[in-house]
Amino acid sequence: MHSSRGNQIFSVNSFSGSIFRNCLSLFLLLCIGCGGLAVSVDAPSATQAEPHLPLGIAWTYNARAGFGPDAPQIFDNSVMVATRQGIVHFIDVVTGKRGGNKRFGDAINGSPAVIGNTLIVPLAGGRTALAAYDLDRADMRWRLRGDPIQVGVTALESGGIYVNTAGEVRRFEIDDGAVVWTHQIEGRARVHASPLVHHQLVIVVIDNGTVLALSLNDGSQLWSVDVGSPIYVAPEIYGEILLVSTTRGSLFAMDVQKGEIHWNTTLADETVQISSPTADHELVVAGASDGVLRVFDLDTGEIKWSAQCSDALAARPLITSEVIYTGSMGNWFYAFDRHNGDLLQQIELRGRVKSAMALAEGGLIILTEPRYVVRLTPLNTDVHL
Amino acid sequence: MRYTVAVWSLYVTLGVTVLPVFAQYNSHFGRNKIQYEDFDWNVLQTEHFDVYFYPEMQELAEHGAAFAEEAYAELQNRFNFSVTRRVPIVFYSSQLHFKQTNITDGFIPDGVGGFYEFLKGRVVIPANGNLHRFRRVVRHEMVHVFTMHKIARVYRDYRIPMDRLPPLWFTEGLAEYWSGPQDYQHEMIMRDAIFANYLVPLENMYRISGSYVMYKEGEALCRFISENYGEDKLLALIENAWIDRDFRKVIEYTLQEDLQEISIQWQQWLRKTYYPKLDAAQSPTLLTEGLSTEGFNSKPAFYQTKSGQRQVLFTGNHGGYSNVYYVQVDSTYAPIDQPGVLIRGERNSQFESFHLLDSRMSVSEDGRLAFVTKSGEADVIHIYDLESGSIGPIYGFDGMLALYSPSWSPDGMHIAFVAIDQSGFIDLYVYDIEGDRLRRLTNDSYDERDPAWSPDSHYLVFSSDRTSKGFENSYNLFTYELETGTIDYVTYGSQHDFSPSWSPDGSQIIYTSTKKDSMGRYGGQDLYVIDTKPTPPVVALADTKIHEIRPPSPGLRWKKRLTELTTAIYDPVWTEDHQVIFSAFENYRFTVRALGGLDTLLQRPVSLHPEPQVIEPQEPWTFPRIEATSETDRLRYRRRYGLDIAQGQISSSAVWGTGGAAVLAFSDLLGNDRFFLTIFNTSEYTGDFLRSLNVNISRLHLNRRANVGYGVYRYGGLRYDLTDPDAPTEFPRFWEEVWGGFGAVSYPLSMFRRIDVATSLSWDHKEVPQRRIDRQALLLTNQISLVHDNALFGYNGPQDGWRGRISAAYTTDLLYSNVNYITLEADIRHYLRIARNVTFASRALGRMNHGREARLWFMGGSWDLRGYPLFDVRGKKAWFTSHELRFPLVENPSAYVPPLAILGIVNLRGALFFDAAHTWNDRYNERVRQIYAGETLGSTGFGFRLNLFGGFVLRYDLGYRFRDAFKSRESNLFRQFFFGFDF
Repeated sequence: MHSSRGNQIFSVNSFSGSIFRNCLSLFLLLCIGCGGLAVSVDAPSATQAEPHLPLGIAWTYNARAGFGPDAPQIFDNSVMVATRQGIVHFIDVVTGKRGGNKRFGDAINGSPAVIGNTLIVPLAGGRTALAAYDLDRADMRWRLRGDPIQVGVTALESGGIYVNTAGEVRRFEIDDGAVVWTHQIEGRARVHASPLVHHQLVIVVIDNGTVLALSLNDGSQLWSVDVGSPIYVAPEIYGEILLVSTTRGSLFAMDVQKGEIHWNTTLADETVQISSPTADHELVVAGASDGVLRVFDLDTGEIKWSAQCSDALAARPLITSEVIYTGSMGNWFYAFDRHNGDLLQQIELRGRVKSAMALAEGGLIILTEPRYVVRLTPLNTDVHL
Repeated sequence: MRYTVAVWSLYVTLGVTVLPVFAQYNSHFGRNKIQYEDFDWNVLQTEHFDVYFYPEMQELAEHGAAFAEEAYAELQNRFNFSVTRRVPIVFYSSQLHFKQTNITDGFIPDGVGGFYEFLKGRVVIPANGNLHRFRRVVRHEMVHVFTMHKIARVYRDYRIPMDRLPPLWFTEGLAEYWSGPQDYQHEMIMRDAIFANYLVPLENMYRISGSYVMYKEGEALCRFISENYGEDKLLALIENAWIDRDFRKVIEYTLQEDLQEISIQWQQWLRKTYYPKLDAAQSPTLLTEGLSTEGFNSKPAFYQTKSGQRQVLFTGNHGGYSNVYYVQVDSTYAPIDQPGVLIRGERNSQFESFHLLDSRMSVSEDGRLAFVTKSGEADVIHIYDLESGSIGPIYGFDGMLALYSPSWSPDGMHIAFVAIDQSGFIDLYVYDIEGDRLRRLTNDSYDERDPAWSPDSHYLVFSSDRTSKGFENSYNLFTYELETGTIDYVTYGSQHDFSPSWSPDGSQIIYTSTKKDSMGRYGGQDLYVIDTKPTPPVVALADTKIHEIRPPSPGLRWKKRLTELTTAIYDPVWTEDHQVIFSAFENYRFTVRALGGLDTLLQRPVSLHPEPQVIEPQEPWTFPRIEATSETDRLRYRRRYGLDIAQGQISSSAVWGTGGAAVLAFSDLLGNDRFFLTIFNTSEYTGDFLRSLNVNISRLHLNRRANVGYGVYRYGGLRYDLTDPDAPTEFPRFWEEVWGGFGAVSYPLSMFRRIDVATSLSWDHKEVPQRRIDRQALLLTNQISLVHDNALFGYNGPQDGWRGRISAAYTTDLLYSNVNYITLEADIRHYLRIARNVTFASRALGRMNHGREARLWFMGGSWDLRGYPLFDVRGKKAWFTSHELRFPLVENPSAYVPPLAILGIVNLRGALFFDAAHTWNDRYNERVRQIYAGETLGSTGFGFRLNLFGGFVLRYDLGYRFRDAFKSRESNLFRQFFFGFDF
């Protein structure tokens, strides 16, 4: 099945396929006390084993600060999370022990990317916008000064894509950070979600309601669509369908190649903010600020079922073959039957869930406020791999 | 302030008994916050809130709970956020009960609609009889709850300390903006600000921080950002608050525009919005004659005396206390003289405060003025005879809390008024003076206002939201037929019709009205006149509880709009001379004005409108409630204590060594029950630690009228005590250990006066090695004080009124008779206000400790005897007098030099002073040179007072010192720098 969005490595894998293949694990060679983080990067498997309910908390890791909206990145036996204090943590998936961490000085709001053995970190404050860190040599490769980057970096084979707060979409080279091309977004609109790369397209959503498709090769605009209301959360691509949700209770499905809208649905209450959607072959799932988890038909946009939770749902949900998982701003984790919306399990966590969650080694990794990384694993069975 | 009363009254008083060195700082004053009611608190638990209320106001609390949940659902969407802790909301049924809350220590002035307290996340809201306003305030405070939780969340995420918050204009503006559509007051202020050119631009908003204008400008700014940059940017401003300590940079970052450019665009947007409305509008200043234009003036009434003098009476505040004023006018209603004070308010418990914005006054045909003041636990109606100049009877009513707008019947035998009872709802009443009977005319949840008696005695006209348009927050006029109890519509529609008053012949009603235009914005509040005949068009009443509905009948009445104002007119009164007297808002001030030429205006009104004639009966409206029906969702209040203060400190000094201290304070949710724990240590070496451990545990009960405190303490260690007669004169340091307990009661007689009583029993062991003294004592101290304070404070200290304190204490050693002395003290301070900003302050002080081991008083320093070092003048007995002329040097300097506002400079004032004092021990003229005892000392000179941030005053005095009863003057000019408010 398609894994959770939010970590661009998986998206990259889906089309490039070669970068991390044949790598078995990510293990950490941290030089504790010397301030460096030396790791040998091995790619994760393309899919992760699904957990079996009921779940319980296996471990909790204190990351000392909050997280952005993106999901943690999972490698075979490690979890990578970046905090708003400016630290990237590597955590052992099984034990929850710290593998290592690296402080980058300024806040990190978007998800970093691992390209080869280079960690690319977008920085949301200060003068440094992008930092490239060599995980093998535990050394900084380069720094790029410029406007801050509030969103995640999307990894490519030999570089990446980012959008800074000045509205510049940029493709850069991994070797030295050299800019391949820049696309300047018009007006004073801002991008709040990491760009998506799909084949030769770069998809950028803008808070003025514009969805923009750029050429991966030269950054030229291929198409744009105005959905009429602000977009503040990351979109989703499944197959050739691009899904975009807005802060005015709308969800749009459009052709990712042409930008033609297949369907859209708008809630009666247009003050409801829809979370990032997630999709698989038949469903689109999104939470909302009214606390309702809605499941839409991928083809028609009709609501198949919905479930009322006690608090706002700001995090992107997660779909597996049998279960839909979500976390609320009221500290609750929920598991619903994907077929009928029956509540299968709920667990009270230590804080709000506003980041996407990820599958990892037969369990789930959840980021909760104020600073905890939590792993949920099946309670009474062995981990199914 | 409450703290002044409760904590200082108890703590400091008791501190005196324990450590008499502090006795002279016992000259604390302060007004009293009195607990008149012993509320029986209940808790209604809803999904997200714990709603605290008392049984009398349950229905109102149930509405409030529904409002809170309704706001929560909406704000959860706006903020995309949930509050994970249950929020305590404390409701009071009226402002008068609200003023008694202990959740905040400060006094709550009229007009405060509620507050959100950060420490424990408590929301406190009073009702005022108007459900719409109650709902809006609940929503306003809920925005604060979400804003503060969200900001706290952002800061914690980014690991930033909560030492910076967005500016008040943003948090309050956002709360206003997200609590509902712009109301008519918002529109009035903004229109006036544009018209009178006092709009403060964005970059200078700090200059009006906390003002009413700031609220409205903040609201307008949030609306501008929403309409021009997107509503989501308001939330983004909160989420980006971590970016920079300077919120202006956060704005620039979020809106991606230069602050100056945003400010300019906002002002242009406002002008574009309001200029078209100003084009054809009239100004009250140009249209009418000003009768009283200085300060604040409102609620006019008119009376022509038997001798023919025409008087306009009104309530107001001309820069100090609020009063009832009068101004004499001629036959053209031009003022003959300056306004004078008729009744001095806010100085005693009889006229504690006026409802300056809410309660009209009325004059009977024989010249009796009826007006309302707060007097103790509730409002009362006062009668003042304008012919004889004497204050007459006072009418108060059991169960009635707030009274508003008394209106005389034509025969002078009845008074109609509206009142809020314990339930928190407001209703219409008539009081029969002769029969001493109170008749309730309405009994429902609608908001009735401003009754006025018709000249033929048959009707009351009043304003109310009982109209079927009331659910939209509209007010129409109604008549109440006293004989039948029938209520009829006078006006009908989606507007605010207020302040009706009859024409002298009863054929017409004059009133004010404002309504929304096609863009949804309220226009000016104008003067209207409507015919009372022919038969009024009848509309079915929303309320069907107790009144018959008159069947629909045809009829036609015309209403005439007489003005088209930029701002607003309030409370018109139609006089026999066909003049209209009213108060007007313009240029951010309320003035009392007269409008002549009424006959012409009636013949050629601005516009003429037919009123709708017949409206089909409609259902009564009400707001939803969350009913507290079972024991599970309605609980009795149980005290649970939460931490208020936790503070620790370590100090190091070459003289005193290293010391550490910790203070913990706990209180219950309502702030009625407080615990204090103070621990400090003054040891100079490790082995001395336990001997020098000082502990004080005390408890205060503040939920009754009499505040009660008690506690135990242990003090030990080396003391530096200038006042101890056994201490060495040159370096008064010795060992002392005290164990004991204390109790105290502070009983307020009124808001301005109280009695403090305290007692303590302590075992005391003192060692003074230098003088070979080792004495033990079991000390019993009793003290009683009477305190008065009605002083009116300015920025730098009192500027009007007076305050005083007399106290007596007796301290004795029950076991050994080592200590046995009495203490007497009197401290009187008077403030004569010569002009608005000029005060002549006088102080007289006498102190005496007499007996065995009697303590010494001390003087000197900037607060007492200026020119002499602090603590240097000492004696067992003392007198002191000080006189000071206080005047402004530079008022509001930041208006001329804006950067000074950033430095917090509020004002620079001057003082010419004269001080004189004499201390002595056994004989008046027996000199002890080391402590200046036995001679009369004095000083005179000039002082500067620099106020920083409105609460911190720097003092710099220079002058000459006098010795030997002013026979000699020291040649050197002394200079003295200190800080603190004027005495």
